[in-house]
Amino acid sequence: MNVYPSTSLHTRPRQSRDTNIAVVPSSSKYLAEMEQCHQLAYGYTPQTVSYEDLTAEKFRQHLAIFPEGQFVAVDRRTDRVVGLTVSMRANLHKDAAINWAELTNDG
Amino acid sequence: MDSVVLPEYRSQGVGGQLIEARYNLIRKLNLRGLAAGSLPIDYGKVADHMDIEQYVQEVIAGARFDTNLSKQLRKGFKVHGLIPNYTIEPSCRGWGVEIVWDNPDYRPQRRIFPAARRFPLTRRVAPLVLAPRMA
Repeated sequence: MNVYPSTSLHTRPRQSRDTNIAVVPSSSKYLAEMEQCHQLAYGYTPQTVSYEDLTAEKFRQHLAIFPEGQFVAVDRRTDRVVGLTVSMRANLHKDAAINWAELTNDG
Repeated sequence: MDSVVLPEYRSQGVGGQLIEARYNLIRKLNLRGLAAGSLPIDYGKVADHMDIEQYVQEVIAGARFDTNLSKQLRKGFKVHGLIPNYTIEPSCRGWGVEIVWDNPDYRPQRRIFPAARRFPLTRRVAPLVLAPRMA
């Protein structure tokens, strides 16, 4: 006898409402698009770029250091990068006062 | 370090999907969790009559919706503190919010030598004693 309801609680929920978006590991072919995506998301241009902003060169370094931690969201219909996330791996100590710029070498 | 979604693709679960990818990676690598600086991007709208602490408290309590922070809290992040001079983003008035997700599946100690535990000292075989030869 099946004791679970047809919509089982153990079924993993669909992560995105838009199934045309796929999150995939980042790679070097996306670098230019990632830079553009970051600009459009924060609303700045190559002329007004600041030290906080992430560029293709910084993305390339992230990929070299911690490739597993970098992901892009791609629209399958157009193969366009519509979102991204970058991660770094660190041993965090509660007492270590260190700011973002120091920890990430300005991103 | 950073997560962004194009404006026209927001509110469709893309950001949540990106966070899930990071959570899954953390589980796979057996890491303690994920720490991030969140931008309270709607704080600027009320910054004139409200300090940041009160604002974040209200977002945590669910009394106020922040387009960025509220979604992250919904994904399981917990607020650990406030970070002054965190960003040049004007809508946050410089503030960042330290948010942490603890990996529920994190195993603090891995057995380095599993075989050593399979044969504890108490079960060591007694030394062989030869019986005296009968005449």
